[in-house]
Amino acid sequence: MASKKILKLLVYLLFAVLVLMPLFVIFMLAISKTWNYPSLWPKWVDWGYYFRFLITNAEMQASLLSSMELAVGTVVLTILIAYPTAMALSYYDFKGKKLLNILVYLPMIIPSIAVLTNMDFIMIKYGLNGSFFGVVSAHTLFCLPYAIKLLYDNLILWKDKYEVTSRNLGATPLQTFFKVTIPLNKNGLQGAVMMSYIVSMTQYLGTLLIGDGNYITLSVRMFPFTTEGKYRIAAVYGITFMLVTLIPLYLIDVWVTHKGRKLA
Amino acid sequence: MRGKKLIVLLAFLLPLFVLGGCSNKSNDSKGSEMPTSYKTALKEAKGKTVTFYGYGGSDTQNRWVDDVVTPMMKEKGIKVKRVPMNIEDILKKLTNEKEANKKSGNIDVVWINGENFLTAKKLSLLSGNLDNSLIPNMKTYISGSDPDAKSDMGTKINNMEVPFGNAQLVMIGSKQMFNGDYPTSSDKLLSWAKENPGKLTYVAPPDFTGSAFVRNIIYETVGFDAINKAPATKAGVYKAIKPSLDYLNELKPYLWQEGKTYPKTSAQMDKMFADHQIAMTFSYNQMYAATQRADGKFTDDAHTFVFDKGTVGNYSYLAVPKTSDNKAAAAVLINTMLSKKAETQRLKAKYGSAIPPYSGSKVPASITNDLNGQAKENNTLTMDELSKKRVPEVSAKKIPIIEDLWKEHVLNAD
Repeated sequence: MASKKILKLLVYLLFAVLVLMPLFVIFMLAISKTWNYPSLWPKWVDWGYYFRFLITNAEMQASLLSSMELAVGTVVLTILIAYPTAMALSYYDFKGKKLLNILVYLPMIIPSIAVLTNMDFIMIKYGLNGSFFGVVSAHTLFCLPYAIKLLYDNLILWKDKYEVTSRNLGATPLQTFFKVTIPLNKNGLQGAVMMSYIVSMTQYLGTLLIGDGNYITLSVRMFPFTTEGKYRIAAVYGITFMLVTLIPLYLIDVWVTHKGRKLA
Repeated sequence: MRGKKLIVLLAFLLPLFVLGGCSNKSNDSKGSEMPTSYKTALKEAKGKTVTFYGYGGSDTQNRWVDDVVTPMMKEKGIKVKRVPMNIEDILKKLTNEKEANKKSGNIDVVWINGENFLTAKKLSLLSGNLDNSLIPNMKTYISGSDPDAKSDMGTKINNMEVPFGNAQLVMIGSKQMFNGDYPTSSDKLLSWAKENPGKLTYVAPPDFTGSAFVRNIIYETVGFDAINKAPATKAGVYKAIKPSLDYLNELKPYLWQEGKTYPKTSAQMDKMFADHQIAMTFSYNQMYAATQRADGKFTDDAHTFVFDKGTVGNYSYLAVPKTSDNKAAAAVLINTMLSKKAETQRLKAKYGSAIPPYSGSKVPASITNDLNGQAKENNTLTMDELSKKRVPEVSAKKIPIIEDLWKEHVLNAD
């Protein structure tokens, strides 16, 4: 019994080291002034640097806003496409189902640079480059595999048994969808929303190429600094990035669990 | 049932209709014309927004554009939008626009040089006519006979580029580790490495500085003329630089990690240097050691030096794509960046102490004095010392060949 507990503790510890250590380093980088090998701790810590940078940097605020705008748009478009697709894949048998199953993963299999270059070409052809819809649809392409997979795994648990029952009892299709399908599928939906939000926030090349310079998001600003080795500035962006990702995720989480409890 | 199928079919076709509807919008507007004189450019550009696309990883240069150039342009009634984008991606974008037959685009001014200029010129992505009458500051500060104003790493410029940045490779050594006796030639470098194994390395080409270091070793071992005259084929370059590759292989076992791996980025190498794991790093900015010291990244023993036989110097440039919607405003932006007022500000440490792209004979005395004063203050090299120790770049066509040969014969030898 005791050994099992120790094992469990070890696993937790390993997890903490693997996940929290890098986070901690990023945090320290954002507030440290000089930090050289082999000293374990920064010699000079400046707590104000982070906030000064955040408040005085108008660029950062503008990029924050465009990041969020695109992420929300992407989540909406992704769910609009992914939900029906996942329902079709999990509930029905039809010709070409296997093919569709593979097609869903294509954006992840083909190197993104090839996808994006060609997408940019198409967007230019149709005059969509630089538009909100254009960038959001580029982001959506990379969110769809995650969203569909997460929704599908959840929907396949019950298949459409409860929906059929609900329809049998006289509920309309819309009622069934909102009162039966979504509550049963809330975990999958939550996962899909979160994943799309994160993937959209981290898109770099797609935003730049298809955005035509109209959407200078946080990742677009952060990327050059990390490659140049401006770790401190990159860390400030990184922390802000985490905050704006984690806070909405937490809110979604609270909202979904709260809703679930009310229904139960 | 049939009605349902029709609806499904319509639902599938809907996106195509939407896209079809949009297609009418594109291709109708044509890219603007390049104005013929600065005066008309100024008039045309009023009230416009001009975009500046370029590398966004240099916070000093970003700050200079935002704090100095943008307000100067505002006085002229023109807004500036800076978009951080790597030149490879910019070229991808421009190529896509060209293939899609789009005549007008959002990219007005790009920061470019060398191999990328060669590519852009081959694909005819850039517009010409960036001459003295359109850019008066070019007439004032850049002499027509300046080789760097005539060709960019062996590629004829033909008025497609205007000098923007002036860079020269410098070595930064740790005073403590070298004991004040810096290896100012490849021979000294090799013998120091043999005595102190594992304390030197260089960034793996095709990194910008790593590649420049390898070229510098080529100049040291076979001389500029040998590589310059060699035909731009793999066999030709190999024959010319064989002794240099042999030198690098002789050095290899005495490098950090016995030369089995190399730092991937100059950022990584700078960090190793700051931590005194290695004794030497490189930079394209003569004040880099000073600014890094001021930032607390490098310790006080970081000292700048160059090879006795000289180090590679090159220029970066500004260009205007053919598709630019705003060629008048682009010309005004280029002229403003080249102005004495903007370049004088650029000398400040917070803007990277960048050397102006002016021709040697035309640099205003105040700028030379300022730079030399800073050099003395920070114990780095003066303008005169630097320009005496400057060797030209090889042709842009040979650079990727050299990088390939390095990979084949040095990195993957044995």
